[in-house]
Amino acid sequence: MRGGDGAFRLPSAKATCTLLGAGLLLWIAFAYGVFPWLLERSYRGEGLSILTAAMGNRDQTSVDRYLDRWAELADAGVFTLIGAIVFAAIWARRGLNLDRHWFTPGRLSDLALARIACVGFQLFLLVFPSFPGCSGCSLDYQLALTGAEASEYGPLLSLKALLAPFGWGTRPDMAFLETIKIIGIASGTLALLGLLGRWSVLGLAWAATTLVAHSYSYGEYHHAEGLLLITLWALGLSPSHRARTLLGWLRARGGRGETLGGATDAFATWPLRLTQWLFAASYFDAGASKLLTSGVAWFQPTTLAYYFARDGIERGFPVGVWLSEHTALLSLAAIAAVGLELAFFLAVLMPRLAPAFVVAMTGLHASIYVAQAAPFPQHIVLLWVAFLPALRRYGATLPWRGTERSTIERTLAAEAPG
Amino acid sequence: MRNVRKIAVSGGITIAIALQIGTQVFETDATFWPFTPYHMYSDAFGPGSTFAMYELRAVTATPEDSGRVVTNLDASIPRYRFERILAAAADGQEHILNPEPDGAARLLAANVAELGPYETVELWERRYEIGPKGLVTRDAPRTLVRAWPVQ
Repeated sequence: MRGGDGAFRLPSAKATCTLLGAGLLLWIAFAYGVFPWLLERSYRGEGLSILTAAMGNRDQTSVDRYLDRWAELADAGVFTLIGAIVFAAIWARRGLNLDRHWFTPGRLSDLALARIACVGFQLFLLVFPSFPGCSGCSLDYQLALTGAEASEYGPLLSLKALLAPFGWGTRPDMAFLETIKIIGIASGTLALLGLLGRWSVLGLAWAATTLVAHSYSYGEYHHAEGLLLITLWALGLSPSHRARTLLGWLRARGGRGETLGGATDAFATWPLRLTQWLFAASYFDAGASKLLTSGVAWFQPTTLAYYFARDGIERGFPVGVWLSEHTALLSLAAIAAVGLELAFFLAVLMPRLAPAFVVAMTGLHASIYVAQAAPFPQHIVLLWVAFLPALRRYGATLPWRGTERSTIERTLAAEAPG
Repeated sequence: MRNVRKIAVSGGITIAIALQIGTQVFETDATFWPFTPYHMYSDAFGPGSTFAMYELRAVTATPEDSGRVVTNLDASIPRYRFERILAAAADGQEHILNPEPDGAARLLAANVAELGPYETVELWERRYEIGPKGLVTRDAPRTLVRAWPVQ
């Protein structure tokens, strides 16, 4: 959409509501009318050949099973769109502005700090693969996987795409994986120093994503690495390389110009905002799936006792085993965890709450590691990075920095999202 | 140029968020990784729930040999997938990698055969129970679930 000045602007929250409403009507017509009809025809071999091929087990599965499964997906789509409409309506009522939310000028120095933290941590994981949280970073593990039978290798879509120049669906050998890791470490070092612009960040993102995707192409995946890798890609595509660089520092030191540290850019906000929303969506999913799968039964103390005992014994973490034997506070812990997960999106919409949520979720991830040895170090680093602007603004309002308060309050008013 | 860039970024943001929400709603597991659902740990467990820890051993014909522990790395199989194979072998089930009767045990025997001159595969189990007040005992007895020949 174009504004009066000819610039492209994202639709208003009201227009988004209308678009989502139209999308809902289209989805209902497609999901409950067109697709079931197509599915039945394809089941008989008369419809789309791609659909017929997708129903490989037609001999053993009745058409009703396929229709029931589709009906579940159709319902899930309807509920999601209704949820999005409600969300957009609240957004519209509060007068929030989508364009300003994503493209308000942000500080390049914040984005550059995010680059240094994310690149630095991913580089650390590649150089020290025994640190928990990135099994794909370990060449020993990759070596074991390359010895697996060909029938066990099921390359992820992302791996196929990243290795497409070498052949769609190709299986990398050990020498290739070692080369990718070397590329990752070299690109990461350059990206840390802000050299080679966006290409060094993208090089690290490509190498790390490829390594982890390969390790997840053998029938098992985990959740720790995904968000950091997506953020690395976003940082590579943003102007994160335009501040806090080695060359800029040298120039500033020699008095030959100044760095862009204090400058702002309309494209400096979206990468961290995207990470915030991905956090909100994934936490909400984690909380909602517990309620949808188990209801309030999830809060009985034996649920957490089971998980703490199983993971603690299996991974040799005594705190988890001890907790599984002392259930008095486990229901409260379960309620607090689900509550935080479901409410986390408030940290995005109300930046004043962000510091509290960041500290609480850091504590939650740390507790989960101590009790269950489930490592999410990337999430801990990323929480502080994604909410860096809100944390910086909050830090400046602390009592011992009172002299800066009035300035900060003005900044807060000017930078408030939406 | 700036408009093109803004449209491209807006499109990218929309795709990323749609992928994240889509994987969650349609439970696509790792299909669109690194966008994944976060449904882990969502099952509830009441009093009386049990879980088992398995240990696979490869044993030679020497009478006093207690054998060696076989890990997932020995078998070139990711950790949790390996544990699922052990559980399937304990119950005499087939496995997706070997969908014939007792396929999981046959698969493990084939893996052990590659490690050296072993004669027998042993599967040991410790079973733990969660009571109304949590874990009943951390010293669950170790029992031999089954033993079968490598060949």
